[in-house]
Amino acid sequence: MFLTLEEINVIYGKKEGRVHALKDLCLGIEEGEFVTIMGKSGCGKSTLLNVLGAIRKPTKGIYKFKGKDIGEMRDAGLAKFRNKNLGFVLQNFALLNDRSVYDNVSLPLKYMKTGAKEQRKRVGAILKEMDLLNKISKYPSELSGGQKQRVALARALVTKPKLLLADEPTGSLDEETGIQIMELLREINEEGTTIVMVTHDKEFANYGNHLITMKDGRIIKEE
Amino acid sequence: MKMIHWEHIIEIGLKNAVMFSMLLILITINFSLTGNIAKKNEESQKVENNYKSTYGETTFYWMTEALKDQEYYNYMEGDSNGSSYKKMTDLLNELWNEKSFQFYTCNNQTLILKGKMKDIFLEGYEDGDFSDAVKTENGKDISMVKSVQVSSGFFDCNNIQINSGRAFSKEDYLYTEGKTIPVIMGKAYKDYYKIGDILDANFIMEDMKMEVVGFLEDKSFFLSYFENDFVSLERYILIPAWNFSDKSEFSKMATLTQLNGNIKANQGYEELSEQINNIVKKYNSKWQMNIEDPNSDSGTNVVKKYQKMTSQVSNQFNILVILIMIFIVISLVINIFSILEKYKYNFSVELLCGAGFWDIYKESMGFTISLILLGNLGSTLYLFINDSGKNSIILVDILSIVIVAIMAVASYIHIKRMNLGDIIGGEE
Repeated sequence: MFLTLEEINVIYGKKEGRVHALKDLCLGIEEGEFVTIMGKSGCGKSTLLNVLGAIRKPTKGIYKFKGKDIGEMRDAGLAKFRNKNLGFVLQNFALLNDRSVYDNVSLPLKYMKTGAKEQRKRVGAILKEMDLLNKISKYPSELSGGQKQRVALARALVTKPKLLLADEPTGSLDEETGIQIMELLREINEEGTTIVMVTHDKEFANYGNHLITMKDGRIIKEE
Repeated sequence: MKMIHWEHIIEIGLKNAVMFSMLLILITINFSLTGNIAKKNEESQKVENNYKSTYGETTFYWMTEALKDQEYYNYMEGDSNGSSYKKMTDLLNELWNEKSFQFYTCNNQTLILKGKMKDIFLEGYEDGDFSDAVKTENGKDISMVKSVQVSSGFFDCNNIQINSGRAFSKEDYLYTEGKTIPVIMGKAYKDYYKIGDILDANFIMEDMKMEVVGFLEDKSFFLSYFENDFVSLERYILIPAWNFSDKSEFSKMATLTQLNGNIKANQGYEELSEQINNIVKKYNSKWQMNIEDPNSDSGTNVVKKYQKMTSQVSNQFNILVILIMIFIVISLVINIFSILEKYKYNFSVELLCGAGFWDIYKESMGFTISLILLGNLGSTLYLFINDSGKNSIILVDILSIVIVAIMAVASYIHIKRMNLGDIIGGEE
């Protein structure tokens, strides 16, 4: 199994403010799958993504990635894990507004200690793929929604991650642009990248080949 | 261990150029202020220590000659064989040389100089009444200026220092008719006179030439009988007290007036009075000296008053330095935190891209350290140019280290508590 979640529990807060966001959640994902997660607001989708992205440690349970227990890693190890294996695409694009497209896309490569020459080569290549080479020195404020999301995708893919985590990637886009992004994700998946995507949109959810439905911190349906 | 991403730090600075510049100015000004106040504090401490070492726990008394009219007449007019004058001279010398207490001549006298002197030097200037201090004599202006006739003990007992030129030598305390009298001038005179200048003077009704041999240090004070207070010497001329080689009307008068002065003693008033009168009566049983007790009801213990004041000033500077340092630390911490909070979104994105806690921590600390370092450099340069002394610079360095240390701990806690994962599903 590419990654597994065993009896994952995530509890936020203390005493009266306690929120049990994930309850005994178990999940297995094969390599190359396109997983879509659906559910109402507050069902724990984003928390699940946080756990998969090694941003939040579960209160209880085991998260294994390619057989390795992520819970045993310390902060530096987790950072390296994210940098090497994961890519993130978010609803609000998560771009650094005070930096250029080039700087945004090359950000993960800086943490990888990639040399400047190699950085330029890889950023150039991925922006070409995304048809954004002519925007390389622009700032996010100068781009359309679709272009911003493609920059975010480029950044997510520049390190050739094994797992791409997408949180409502079409949430801030119009339908046409949303479809364009989904098509790109499909292509990326077909090239071998495992994708886990959270979405409210049933149509976009069908792009996946492994559909999960969540409610109150649990998986209630898996197909 | 990952290296510090200086480009991110520089970028934070450039993108927040206005805030960064304002913080930098704030830090530089505050550090410079701290250094300056530290310098004042140091000077104040020096004054206090100087004061304590000069005046310590001893008491100062005033002594003035108190010859009755008849004795005065007998001394000045009726002393045909000069024996009275000799006794007076011997008495004066015994008092100067006495070991169980320190007597020194400190005799405020008007000195008449030919020519019109600047107003600030004239008698009565400080009281606002110096209209009579300049007169015309034989068609020429003469000015009455402030002077103090002093014996050698005056300098030691009041810790008076010479700024330029020389102090009075042993020979200067010997008077020979026609000899040029060396004088030392207060600092204010330095703008108008130089070493070697000759003055046409009249002192206790005797014409004489005076030569400027030195100038006093700034902030030279003496305990004045007439003012009952410490008085600055900057507008005074110091004249040496004399032993005379010849007897004359002038020498008799001068010798008598030289008995006016201060006594520095550990003895109490009663004991001192008795001791002095016993000495005096050895020479003439009818002679008397007036000893004034500064601790009496009619008097004010000026020395004790100033001791308390310098100590209070010193303490106030200490408090001011501490308050300023606390203010600097608090204001900087608040301002830097506000920038960190502003960058929470960026830190979250960096986290997603593979940054660890320590990368983000180093970035925030790099920004803080850059700010403090630049502020430190700026203020050090200012303090160096201002000749504030190494202690001020060291204090600013210590302050910088303290701020960085506080920020190191506070930033660690603050960033640890930041919920960076909120970037995913933040709206949810």
